Amino acid sequence: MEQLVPAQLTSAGRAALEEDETQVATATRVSLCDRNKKLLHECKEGMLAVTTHHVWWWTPPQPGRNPDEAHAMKLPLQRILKAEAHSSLFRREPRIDLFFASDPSAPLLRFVFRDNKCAEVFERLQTSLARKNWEKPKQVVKRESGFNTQFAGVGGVMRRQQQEREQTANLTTEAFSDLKQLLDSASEIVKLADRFSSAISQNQAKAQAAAAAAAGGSSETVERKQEDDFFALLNDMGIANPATKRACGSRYHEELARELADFLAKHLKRHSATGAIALTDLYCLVNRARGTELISPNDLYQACILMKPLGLNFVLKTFESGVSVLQSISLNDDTVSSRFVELLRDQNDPFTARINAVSVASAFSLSLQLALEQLKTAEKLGYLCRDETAQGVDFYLNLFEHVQIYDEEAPPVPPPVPPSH
Amino acid sequence: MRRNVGVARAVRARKERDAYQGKGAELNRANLEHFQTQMAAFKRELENFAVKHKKQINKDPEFRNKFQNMCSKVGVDPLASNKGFWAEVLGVGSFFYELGVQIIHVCLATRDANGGIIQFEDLLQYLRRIRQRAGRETQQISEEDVQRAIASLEPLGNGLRTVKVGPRQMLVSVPMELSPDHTTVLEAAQTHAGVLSIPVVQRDLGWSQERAARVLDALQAQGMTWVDKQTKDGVPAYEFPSIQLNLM
Repeated sequence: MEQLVPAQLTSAGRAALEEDETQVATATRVSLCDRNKKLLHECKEGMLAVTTHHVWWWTPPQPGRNPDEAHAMKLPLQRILKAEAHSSLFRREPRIDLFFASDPSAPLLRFVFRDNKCAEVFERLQTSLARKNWEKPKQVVKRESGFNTQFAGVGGVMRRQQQEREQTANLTTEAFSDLKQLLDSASEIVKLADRFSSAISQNQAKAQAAAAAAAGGSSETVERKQEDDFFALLNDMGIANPATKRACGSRYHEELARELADFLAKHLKRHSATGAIALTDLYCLVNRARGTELISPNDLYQACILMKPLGLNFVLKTFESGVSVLQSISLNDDTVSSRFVELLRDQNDPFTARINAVSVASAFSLSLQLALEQLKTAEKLGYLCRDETAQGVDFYLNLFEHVQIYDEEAPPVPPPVPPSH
Repeated sequence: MRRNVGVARAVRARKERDAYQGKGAELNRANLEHFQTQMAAFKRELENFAVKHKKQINKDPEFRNKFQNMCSKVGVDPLASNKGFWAEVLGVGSFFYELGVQIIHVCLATRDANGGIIQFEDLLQYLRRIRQRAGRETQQISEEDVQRAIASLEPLGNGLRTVKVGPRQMLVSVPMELSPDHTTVLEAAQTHAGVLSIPVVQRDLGWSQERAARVLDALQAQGMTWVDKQTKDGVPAYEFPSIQLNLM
């Protein structure tokens, strides 16, 4: 057990991967045994994930509980000496034994599988162990250091740049020569592509400015700019551990819900000022981030329904018009209502202070419709009272809750204390 | 005799500067050309690679992830399939789901400019151009394909709606519940003493006629504005009683 180190889950209860880490296999209902092959009581039937760098094991957090309380551990792959898979007709549960350098003769750790993922997990684990991704990737483009008269002066700069160009051209031919090569140089390619595209777009911006100054902008550069913007949306949003139906089985929608919650926690601000996003927009963004592992509209919807029962930070809300949005729970009815009350109390006289859809919409940067809806909800919950006038509907603090009604039969009650100003 | 003074020096200095600048520009041009050819090469190679190694890519989640990462950096749309080129290669799901993602993507990318209302013809043109980027002879997508793709998004609620404005089909991607437009118009009404018209909104906010009309009509449906169709110049005036009364 000492091989496993405590690990951090994301706020939605998934493995918090490192930057270059990719999840390659998952299994549910996996239990842990120690060196005496005894089942560890606190490690029964959890989630297992194999990544390029670790084996993760955790119990998904309970709804409403702090994710830090979840039991999560990981094992750096570099510590594993070898792995063996065992399954037989007579034992019901297939298992994977892990051996460590400290004792090559006996397994110190055993994973017992209740679902049918053992073979797949084992295959991926072997691949990850063989690839040794934790070792530093080799540098492909090297820059000559040290002074050399060949590279001095203007001619030198030109010669050096010429040499760099040749090197990157070589990289392209080499990298795409076979699968393993491309895998090894993938991050190099990404870096180069980043550098190239920013240089190209800078140059385009310059050309565009020049063209605009000369002739009011050509349609071609405008089109290209639009396309760049289009692809800019794709950048830096990738999901390295997409939940898949194949890997998660019956837990697919739950894992998807957790994935969405993590994704929104990270990216919602960039796409929505209001803390709410239409499911259609989300469908596009999350599928772009997943690349080719598309989720269907129906699966997305099913996952959204689960967010509330799972206690995640977002809830599905469907308006009367049929528009569905995911809302951050910071927008829940009671919180928003108390923000309205605060807004009213901040005004001078709580008896005459009033708000309406427009003032609320601009104060909290909500849409008019959403503002109106929230006001009506606050009214329903007893926080506000409406006043319908020719100028429109205004909302006041609900002061009736401070008023007591005298019952003549009942013994006299002391007069009510007016609310403090 | 002293050198390096007077007119001769200034002329020489300028010549030198011009020479350096010329060299600099030459270098930049050479680099830029190189970058562009390399990017094109990346793109071509990625596509060839997908064809050649589709089995391994599909089987290997790590590689799949890296591959996608490269695609997005190099500007290859992994969904720009030819009713299935990439779909076939990478086993991507249904063509209409993919097209759905691309349609919403176009809506998102153009939203700043059009407020979430796009004409069908523009949408189609955009989609065709994006799909052509993948460098294959693209199967033409039709308006019907787009309609079917939108219909396939039905489980996601009414976030996308097609509306007919006169003879033109438009796709609205920002539902009223999430649009800041109505608040913006009410704010504009305040600077115009509580009276607006479609042309005024267009001019003030730089919106299309459709966008302005849509927002004003929605506000009318909510009872926030009344329409006076009998104005002197024949342009309907939208009166905002709440603002006018407040100004009195």
